[in-house]
Amino acid sequence: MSDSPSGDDTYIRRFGFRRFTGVRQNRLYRIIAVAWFNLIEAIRRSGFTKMLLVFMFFSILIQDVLIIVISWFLPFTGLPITINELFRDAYADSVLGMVSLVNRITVLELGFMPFNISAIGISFIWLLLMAIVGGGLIADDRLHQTTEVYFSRISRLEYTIGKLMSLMLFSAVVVVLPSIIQYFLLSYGLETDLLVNIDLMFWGIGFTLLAAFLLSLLILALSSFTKRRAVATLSFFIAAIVLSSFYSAIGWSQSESLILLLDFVGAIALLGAMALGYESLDVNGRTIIFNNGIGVEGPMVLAVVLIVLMLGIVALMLTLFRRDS
Amino acid sequence: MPIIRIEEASKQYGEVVAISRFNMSVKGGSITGFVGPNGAGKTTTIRVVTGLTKPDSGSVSVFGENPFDNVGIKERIGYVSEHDDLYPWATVRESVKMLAQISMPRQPGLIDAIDRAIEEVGMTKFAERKVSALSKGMKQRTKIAAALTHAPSLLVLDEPLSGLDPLGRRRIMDLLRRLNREKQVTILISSHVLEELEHLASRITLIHRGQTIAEGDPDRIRKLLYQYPHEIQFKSLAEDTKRIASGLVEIKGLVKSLTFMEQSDELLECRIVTPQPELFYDELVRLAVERKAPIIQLDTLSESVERLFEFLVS
Repeated sequence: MSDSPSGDDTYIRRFGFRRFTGVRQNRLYRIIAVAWFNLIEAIRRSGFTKMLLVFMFFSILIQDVLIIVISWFLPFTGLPITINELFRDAYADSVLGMVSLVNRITVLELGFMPFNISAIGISFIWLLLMAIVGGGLIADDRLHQTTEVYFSRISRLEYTIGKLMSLMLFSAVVVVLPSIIQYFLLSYGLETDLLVNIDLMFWGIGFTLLAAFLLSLLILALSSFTKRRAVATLSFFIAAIVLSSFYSAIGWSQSESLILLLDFVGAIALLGAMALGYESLDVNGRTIIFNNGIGVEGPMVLAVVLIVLMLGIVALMLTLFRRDS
Repeated sequence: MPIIRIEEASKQYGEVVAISRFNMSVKGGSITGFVGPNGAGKTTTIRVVTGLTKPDSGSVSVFGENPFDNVGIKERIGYVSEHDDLYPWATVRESVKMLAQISMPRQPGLIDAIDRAIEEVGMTKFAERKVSALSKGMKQRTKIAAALTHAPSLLVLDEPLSGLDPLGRRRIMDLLRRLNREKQVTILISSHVLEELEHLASRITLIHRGQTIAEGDPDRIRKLLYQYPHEIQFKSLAEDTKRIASGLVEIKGLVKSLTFMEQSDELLECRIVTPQPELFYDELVRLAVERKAPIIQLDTLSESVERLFEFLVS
């Protein structure tokens, strides 16, 4: 907004209007301020969140120690794949396991994969943390009517991005950073060249960020529908667990692998695997071929993720961007 | 051009018409009172001015621009809503800091600005106290402090005095007066009680059913409201009451209706509706003295704001 003196401005100032003298901050700073404040408050307020964070830290630590120990002591001679291929599969498996709620994405070549033993725990805690932290982000504002205070200072878009960013920052510390650390640890353990597989590290960052973005959007959309943080938290977490367990409970035959698509969280993991070029995955002991025309097709997985993304955006738009909100 | 100009603005929530072809203007440097009964459209108008909502039709300009979702305009407005919109778990300082950081993150002197704003509203002693442990008045002052950190040119307050005790009310009014006088902050303040604002505001707008029904300085509004038929009751010995009442009825146009209510064998109460309350009181005293009829009790029956506004509309 220009402060250049115009006729109107002069008139206004004559009657007491003071020109704005503060330093105007750009949009990014305002968004970061919203994100940072909300993140710190969400963690600071809840003892349970702090406890989970500590627990998650130890889970990651255990996984990292396991990665090194297993890499050193496993007899890798006589494997059907090279060490570099093993590194790529193991890392992908470990990172995918951070998002996937149940242990069902296992590299085919080995028949088993020991590198994602504690990743199951990480994905569980991460989802729980996302539900707890994200559930109240908008619901609390609606309950205490603080959305109005925010909107009196920043735009609705800045508010929404700020809230989304607080969950993204949270995820960056909880999963993105560990995924990067694991890349170096695994590479060190298996003695592979860091630079040869550097694309994998960027994939790890991109995938965890994408997963964090999609899950954040979903939990925020749920949070914007209610004034009770518990409703948003529980509905997100229960939906994630129930849908994830659905396949394990019902999908006992190959022809019913479509049920897997009900699991949105798992679908993100499948999408990540597809991005890496996998054509099939072993899920709970059964091989899921992405493009055989009868199972979980690649475009279907993409469609599931896009539909949830769209629903999340529409839900947020409906509640935060309508003119009376 | 005034700082705030609303022209023919209408806003409807479903079937409910909040404001209808509403007009208002606020001059820079003024304190403008915005008075109306509950549901008159005050909050909607304030939300329109602060850019929180958009009118269905008509135009709104604040500092010459459309304020809806306009961050440039929001930087110049300090807004205090009618709700207790503070996080109960945060302290006073944290509440103020949150908004300050959003408005001016990374700005040098941010902490000073926060401390200054807290000091300005007299909350330094309670800066580390949690919002949940604050009185209503303290919460209001905290909200005002949060609204002041970015040095706004326009302060918009939605019923900031409601629910406050007389001391709390006075403190806030003194604070607003000082802000207006010393810092030239233009103030738009709403209330459903005229008395709260008539000693504070230099201009008052009366709103009812989403429309302006009167506008002017407090004296003019007071005179206008005085035309409203007042219901007054006085009590005396039965004979004295009748003598005074007969004298009042003889004065043309002074009494609109009169009712006697027997209180006991000796006492009689008289209820009178008069369109000229000032003259009524003068005459009542004159007759009581002249006819040697002492009045035991005298009351003005309070009327609801809604009825008062219905009268003004009619």
